[in-house]
Parts: sequence; C-alpha cells; structure tokens
Amino acid sequence: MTDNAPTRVAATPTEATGPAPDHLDGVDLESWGLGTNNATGLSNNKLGMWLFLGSDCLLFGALISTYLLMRHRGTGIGPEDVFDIPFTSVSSFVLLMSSMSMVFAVSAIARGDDQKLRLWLLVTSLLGGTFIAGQVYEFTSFYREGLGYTTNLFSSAFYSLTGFHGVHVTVGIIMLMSLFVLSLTGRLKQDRAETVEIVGLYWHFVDIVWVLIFTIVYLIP
Amino acid sequence: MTVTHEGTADAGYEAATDEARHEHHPSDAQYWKVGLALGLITLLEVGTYFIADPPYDHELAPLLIGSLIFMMVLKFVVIGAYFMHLKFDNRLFRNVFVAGLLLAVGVYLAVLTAFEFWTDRYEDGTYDQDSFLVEDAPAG
Repeated sequence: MTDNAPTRVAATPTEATGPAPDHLDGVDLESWGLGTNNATGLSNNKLGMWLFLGSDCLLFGALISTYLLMRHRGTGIGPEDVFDIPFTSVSSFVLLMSSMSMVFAVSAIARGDDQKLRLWLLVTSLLGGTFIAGQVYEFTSFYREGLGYTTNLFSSAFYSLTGFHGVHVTVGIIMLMSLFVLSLTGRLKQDRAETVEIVGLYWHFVDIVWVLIFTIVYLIP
Repeated sequence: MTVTHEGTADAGYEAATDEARHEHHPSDAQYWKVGLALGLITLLEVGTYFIADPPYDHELAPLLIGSLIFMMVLKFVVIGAYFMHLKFDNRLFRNVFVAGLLLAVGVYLAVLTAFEFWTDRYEDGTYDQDSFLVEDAPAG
C-alpha cells in the first residue's frame, strides 16, 4: 500500500482485528462491548448510558447552582437551623457502601456467580432503601420544624435538589429489584453481564452526585 | 486487505483490547480497600466540618473549606475511576462523561457569575431580598 492510498475502513471490529483468539473461546464478547457491529466497536447500550449520565450532569448542575443562588435568600428558617450533620453523614456513608456492594454484584455476574449476584443486588437495594428512608425522615422532621416546600427560596431549592436526587435513587432501586427478579427467574445470566454493569453505572452516578450534594449543601453552609 | 491498527480501525482494535483491560479490573479485595478509603475520607470530611465549626468565621475557614472541596473531588474521582471503571474502560466513555461534566461546570459557573454570586452584596445588605435580581448599591 502506498502512502497516498486511501485506508479502507473495516466494516466490523472482527474484520479489523481478525477472529477472536483461542483464549477468548466461550467468552461472550457482545456482553463486554466487543463484536458489536458499529463504528466504534463498543457497546451501544453502554455508550448510551454514559451519554445519559453526561447529560444528567447538566440537570444536577442546574439544581445545585439554583440552590447556591437561593440558599441565603428569603427569610425564616435557614440551613443552619435544620440540618442534622451526624444523621446525614450516616446516610451518606450508607449510600457510599451501596456503591461498593454494586461493584460486587457486577463482579459476581462477570464470574457467573448467580447467588452472589442476587445477594449483592439485594444488599445494594436495601442500602439504597435505607438512604431513601433517611431522606423521608429528614424531610418529615424539617417539615415539622416549619420548613415546607414553599416556605422560602432556600426550602424550595433544597427540596428540589435533594428530592430529584431521591427520585434518581428510587429509580435505581427499581432497576436493581428488576435485575434481582430477572436473576431469580433465570433470565439474567453471565451473557447479560453488561446489563448489570450499565445499571451499576447509573447507581454509581447517583452516589457521586450525592458526594457533591453532601459537601456543597450540608458541610459548607 | 485487512486494516489493522490504522485509521478508524483503531476503534475496533481498542475495543478488542477491552477484554484484556477487563482482566485488569480491580479484584474484590481491591474494591474493599477502595471502599474503606472512601469511608475514611467521609469520616475526615465530617471531622473537618466539626473542626471548622460553622459559620466558618475564623481565620482557618478558607483552609478547611478548601480541604472539604478537595476531599469531595477526590471521592468523585475515585468512584468514577474504580467503581465506574473509567480508569480501565475505553477512553470514549470517559470522554463522553467528562464532556458533559465540564459543560455543566462551565455553564453553571457562568450562571453563578452572571448573578453576581461572587460579590459580597449578600453580606452588606445591598441586594433586594424579594427580588430575583441583585440591585446596584444606592448612590451616595
């Protein structure tokens, strides 16, 4: 091939790289984003989730910015009057640990260990549920102290931000429980490891958003 | 002719090496270590909060707030790199996410600046509490 000759684009990753080597026999390349018939050679589903998470940064960016602008506006109850830092710290730790249990679930299905997969999915869901229960308790106690959604600008911004995050966690729990049921009924095997990985990405994202909220909203009032 | 490692075939080659990268994903023991480190950082954050003793009106406040922000970013990066596998996965995933993140940070820093968030008008009482927009200080 001369230097000026156009490079022919390989139609598929398999064509570009040749057949899979022997040591990959039996490995489901599709589940790891390989062998997919697209321009990148990567899993479209996984790329789609990353695109969604990238765009979700804008949603939470808007909510955090609004909170920063509004938290000291208006009168009445402010953050320093209602926040219970030790309680929220425990909630944050619980959510952090749920991220760790999620990686164990991903690791378990990659090994084909269905029992461990179900165990860790359940643990992750329970930890997420504990976090949500804590948030419900927090909102209820704030409300009893007189901080309703429309009490002032701080309360509206605070409830919007943490409420949206809570909705994300709830959606995550629903996805985790769906995976749990799929696994129980034998419809989630090792060849669908990527599905668990993608739900895991969503769950970790929810966790890192809380890392930001915990510091910006609670620890730096 | 089969193109290997050239031009757009790089994407396919990179994808094919993903399997090898997956083999280098952290082990469960390493995940425990990362989780423990994250827990310790959280403990440090909470400790820093109580040492800083809000409302942060003493001379060490900037240092302590800086520490809190540093620890927040550190946790964010560690979770992204290890739990979300950005350190080991294809670079395209990382680029897509970082692009959204940087866009969000840029846009909303601009928004905050536009609303004069960085001025001291909150403290000197020259803003109109009932208005969304900050008013200029009265002349004279």
